[in-house]
Amino acid sequence: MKLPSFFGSMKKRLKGRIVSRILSHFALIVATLFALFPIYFIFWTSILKIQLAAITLSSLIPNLALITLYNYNYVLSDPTFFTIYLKNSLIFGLSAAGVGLVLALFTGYALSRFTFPGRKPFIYFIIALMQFPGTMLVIPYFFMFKELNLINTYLGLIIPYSAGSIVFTGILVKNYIDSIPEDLEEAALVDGETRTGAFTKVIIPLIKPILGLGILLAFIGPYTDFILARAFITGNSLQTLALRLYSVSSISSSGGAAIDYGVFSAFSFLMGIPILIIYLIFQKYIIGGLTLGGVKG
Amino acid sequence: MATVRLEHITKKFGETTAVDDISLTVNDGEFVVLLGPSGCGKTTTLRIVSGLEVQSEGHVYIGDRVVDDVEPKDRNVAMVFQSYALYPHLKIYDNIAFGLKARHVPRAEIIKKVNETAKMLQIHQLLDRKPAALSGGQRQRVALARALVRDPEVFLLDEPLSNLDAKLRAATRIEIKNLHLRLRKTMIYVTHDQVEAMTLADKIAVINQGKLLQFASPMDVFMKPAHRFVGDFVGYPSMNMLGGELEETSAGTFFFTPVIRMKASGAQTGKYFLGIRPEDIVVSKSSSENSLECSVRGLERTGSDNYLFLDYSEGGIVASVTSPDYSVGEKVYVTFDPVNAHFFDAATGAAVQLSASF
Repeated sequence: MKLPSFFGSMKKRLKGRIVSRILSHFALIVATLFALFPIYFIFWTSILKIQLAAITLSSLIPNLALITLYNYNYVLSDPTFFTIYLKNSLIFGLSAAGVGLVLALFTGYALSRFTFPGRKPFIYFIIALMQFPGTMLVIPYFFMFKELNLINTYLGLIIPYSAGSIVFTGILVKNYIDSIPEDLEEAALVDGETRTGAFTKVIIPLIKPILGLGILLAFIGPYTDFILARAFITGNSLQTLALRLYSVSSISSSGGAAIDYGVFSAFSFLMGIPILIIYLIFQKYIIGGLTLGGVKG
Repeated sequence: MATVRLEHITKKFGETTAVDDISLTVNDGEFVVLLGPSGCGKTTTLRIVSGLEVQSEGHVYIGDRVVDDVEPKDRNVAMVFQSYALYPHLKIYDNIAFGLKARHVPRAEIIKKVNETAKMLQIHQLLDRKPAALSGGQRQRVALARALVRDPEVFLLDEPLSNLDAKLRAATRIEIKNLHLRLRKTMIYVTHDQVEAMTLADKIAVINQGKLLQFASPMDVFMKPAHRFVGDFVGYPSMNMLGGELEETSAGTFFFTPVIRMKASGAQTGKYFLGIRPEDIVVSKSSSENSLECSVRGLERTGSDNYLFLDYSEGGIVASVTSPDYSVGEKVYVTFDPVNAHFFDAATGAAVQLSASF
C-alpha cells in the first residue's frame, strides 16, 4: 500500500506547484498592467481626436475612427523641435553620458582596485550622496556656476550632469569590477601588457554590460532633466526638449493656463525615441552580461 | 641563461611579515618547488619573482640582471595561476595568443606557435571555444599553453593542480614533469602538497611563516630534515615527535623522554625533540628489549599501506605497518633503530646531529 500514497503525495506536490505558478503569474500580470497602462494611455491620447477632458473608459479602447496624427504634425511641423530642442538635449545627454561614463569608469576602477587612505569612507560618502534628492543641488549649483559665469552655457550643465554619473554609475562599475578576479589583470601583466593594456584589453571587455547600462543611465538623466535646466537655461538658444515639453503643451486661455494633453503626449512619445535608440544600440552589451559567465574560471 | 636568485628577500604587508629574509638560487633549467602550508609566504615569494609584488627588502636577479625595478611584462617570465586566470571574453586561441600579441610577434608566427603549443598539449580542437565551455582539466592545459607558447626564460606555477580531482592531478603531475624534462626550462612551482613537491622537484624549498627552513633535494628533505617543521610537514603520516631532555648522568650522557632512555651525545644538554618516521617504527606483538608497550587506538587502511595509531602511557605514536592484522585495544610493542632517529632543538627547531643508541 506504499505505492498509492507515494503517488498521492506526488500529485499533491504537483498541485501545489501549479497553484503557486498561477499565483505568481497573476501577480506579475497585474504588475505589468500597472507598468504598461501609462505608456498605453500616453500613446493613445497622443493620437486621439478627443481632448483629455472628454475621455471616458470606453474611448480608451482602440478605435480607428478616433485616430488622428494632428498632434504629431503639430509638434514636428515646428523646425525648432529639431534645430533647438532635440539638438540641445542630445548635446547635453550625449556629452554628459560620455564624460560621465569615463569619470565613472575611473572612479569605479580606482575604488575597486587601488588601496589608498580614505577609500572606505569615500565609498560610504558616495553612497550617502545617493540618498539626497537632486532638487537639493539646484540652489547651491546655481550660486556656484553663476560665480563661474557658466549659467546659460553648455558647459554649465554638462559639468553637473557628468558629476552626477560618478555617484551612481561609479558605484555600479566598482561593484562590477569587484566581481572580476584580479588574477586576470595580473595574468595580462605577466603576459606582457602594461597596466593600461590590461585595463583596456581585459577589464573593459569584461565590464561592457555595466558600461552599456551606465551609458543609458548617464544619458537618460540629463536628457530628461527639467529642474536643473529650468534654473540654468535663461536664453532661448539652449532650451531642451524637457523644457519645451512644458511650454509647447501650455495653452493660455481666458480662464488661465491649461495643458493640451494631446500635444503633451505626442511630444513625450517623440522625446522617448532617442532613449530607445540608445537602448537598442547598447542592449547587446547589457544582455551580454547575463551570458558572459565563466569569469570565475 | 635564466638563473633566478633571491637575495635576502623580505616582504611586509603592514605589520605582518609574509616573507622573512629568504635567499635562494634556482639554477638554469632547474625545477624548484616552494613547499609550505597555506599562508607561509610561498605564493608571495613567487609573486615577487614575477614582479606582481615588490619586495620590501632584498634583491631579485633573473639571469645576470637585477629585476627589482623591472615591470612584470619585461621580466620574461610566464605564470600559471591557481585559478588559471583565463580571459573569459576571449576564445582559447586568443587566450594563448594574448602574450604574443602583446609582444607584437608577427601574425603568421603567432598562428604557427599557438597551433604547435595547442597540439603539444592536445587542446587544438578547443581553440574556437570560450573558457567557460571547458572542463577544469582543459582549462588547466590552456593555462599551461599560454605560458609555454611565449617560450619565457622562467616558468612560475602557483598551485596549478590544486583545482583538479585526484586522478587528473596525478596524470597532469607526470605531464608537467615530462614537459620540464623536455624543455629544460627554469621552473618555480608553488604547492602545499608534499607529494607534488617530492615527485616534481629537483630541489625543494620548505617555507614556514615566511622563513626558508630547508633548500635541498627531495631525498635530502625527506631523509635529513633540517628543521622540526620540515620533518613534521614532509612525509605522510607525519613524523612522530617525542619531547625529551639530554642530560649528563654519572653513567654518561642520556636522552630521556618519559618512556625512552637512550645513550646520546654530540650536543649540549637541554631540551630536544626525538623525531621518528612511522615507517621506521617496528611493531611487534611480543615485548623485547627497549620496546614500548602500546595499545591500538585505530587502524587506517589505504589499501597499500596501513597506519596504526597507538597510545602509550604518555601520548600517541603512528606506525606504518604492512599487515592490517590488528584490532582496537590490542597490546603491541614498538621499537625503532636509533640510526633512524632525528633530533631537533626544542627551542629553535633546528636539526641536531646526535649519535644515539639504546
